[in-house]
Amino acid sequence: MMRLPRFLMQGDRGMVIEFGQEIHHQYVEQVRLLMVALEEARISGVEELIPTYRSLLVRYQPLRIDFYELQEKVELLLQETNRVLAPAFVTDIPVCYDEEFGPDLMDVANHAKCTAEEVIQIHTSADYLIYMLGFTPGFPYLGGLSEKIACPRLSKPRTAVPAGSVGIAETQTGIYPLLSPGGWRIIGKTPLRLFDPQIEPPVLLRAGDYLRFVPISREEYLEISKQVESGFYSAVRRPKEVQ
Amino acid sequence: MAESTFLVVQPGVLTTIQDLGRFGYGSIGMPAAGAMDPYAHQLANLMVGNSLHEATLEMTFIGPTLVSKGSHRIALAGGDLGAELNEIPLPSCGSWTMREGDTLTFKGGSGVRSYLAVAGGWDVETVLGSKSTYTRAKLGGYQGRPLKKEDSLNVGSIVTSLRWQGSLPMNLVDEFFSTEKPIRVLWGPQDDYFSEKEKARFLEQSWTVNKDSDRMGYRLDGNPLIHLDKKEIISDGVCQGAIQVPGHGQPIVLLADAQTTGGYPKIATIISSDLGRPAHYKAGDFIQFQSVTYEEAIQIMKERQQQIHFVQDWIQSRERATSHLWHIYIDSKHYRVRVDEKPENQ
Repeated sequence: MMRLPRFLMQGDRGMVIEFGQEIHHQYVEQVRLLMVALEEARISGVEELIPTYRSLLVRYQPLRIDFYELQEKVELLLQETNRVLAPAFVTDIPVCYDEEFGPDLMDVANHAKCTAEEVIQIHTSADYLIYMLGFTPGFPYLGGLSEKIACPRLSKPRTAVPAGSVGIAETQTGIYPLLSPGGWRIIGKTPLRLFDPQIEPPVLLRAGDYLRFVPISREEYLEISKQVESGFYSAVRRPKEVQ
Repeated sequence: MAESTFLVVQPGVLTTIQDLGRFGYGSIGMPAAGAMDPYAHQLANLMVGNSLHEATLEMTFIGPTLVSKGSHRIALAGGDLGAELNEIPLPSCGSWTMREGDTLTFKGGSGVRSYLAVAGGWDVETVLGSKSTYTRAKLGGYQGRPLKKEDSLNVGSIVTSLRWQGSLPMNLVDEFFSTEKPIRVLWGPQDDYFSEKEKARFLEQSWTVNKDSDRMGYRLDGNPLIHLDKKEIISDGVCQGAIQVPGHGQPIVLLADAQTTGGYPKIATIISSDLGRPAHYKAGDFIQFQSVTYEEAIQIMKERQQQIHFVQDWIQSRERATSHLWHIYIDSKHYRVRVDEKPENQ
């Protein structure tokens, strides 16, 4: 049985369903469970669901369902304890860690007092939980980076980080879906497109799933780039093994 | 067949195509964008017989110079940007016909934002369910960017054509664009990060709009608010209109292009009926907030819907009337005189 979350108003058309105030994988699971339940329930007047680390924001039309009616319906959904989550998926993200794509890899290695190869080995040997997508469309907030290769942000952020760049900031790691400014240490680049408005769904990843970085050579990078360009590449996704 | 386009002779300060926003993709981090003032946007559409969702041009400070290819019905709604049709000044809310070769210009005025609708709507590709321009991702609208000199805007096909044209009586819509009255908010979701005394100070003072304000958010300057304890939260979801207070205590009002998640406590959130009002404030203007209850907010929302219906009815009543526009020249001065024949039951 779940602990009941807090129901908070965000204006007259937003309901924040808050499971906790800190980052915890259990909250991520509860958010995901409720999100799936709400998607299936198709409650009239519910417009949009935005999951985060610890809460679910529900945008609704108050003239069709008011805050209190919606809260009752959500509480009923939360009481259905027999609900089982569909298994999470792990998406492979091929990454080329060559210097031309990862200008800060050596700095990260120096900071961790190890070799570049060891940084790559550590970075590619974990499944990262996708807590949420945000910042720019498709940007994954990931949990699970090894403390060993944690590294502070650049003191002066770059004005332009290319799309696909894989970076480290403190104990976070992530991928830039779009060319944007940024201060994360860039250690590599994926040829995959994390965000493409021309396809449905427009993003490769989903909150609550996992991803795993897979090291590739420069040649493989160019080959996959070509396949992505022509629309023939399909990302490798497999069910997450239960530990 | 006559061309059905507008040529952009000058782009204006910041002119983008917007509709009511790109909703449904918040879970992937996609901001909704859309018109900064959704009500002005809807009024402009209403005056040319478009659906209220149809795309309009959002103009900022100085609108574009447009030359009409073919004949078009246009409408303006919002602040006064000094619009002129063939050098004849236009009121800030109304609908007119542009004929082949006519030129619409903006000299700038007291207003900040205004919306230009064309009968049939601006014909651009729909991206993820919306025509709104989101410039940070270079997506939607006209090639994902503000208008540039020499762009060519296509017009879609007309659904309903209206005979009525002229200006909208300001008393019908004054309240929509007021920068005098306080902007109404609901407390929360993180007002418990502030003491009752700080919450009172949030309402009592007039906040100055900072120059670093844009479609994403307005930064406000004033006596800083003091957090009870923590100055950050673990990121949670953001609605348009949320007012977040970072560590320095100066509030930021999150608007059309707001990010979908944020890590600062949100002391209050603007009610949806007032969401378009910040669009009419410029740097240096004073903003004051007033708190209302949820029940009051819903009541105001219903009244706002009635006001829009009232404008709709008013236009329909004009539609049944006949009007004549006279151009009178006295001492080489030009006067426009409209004579309305009122429908029988008025």
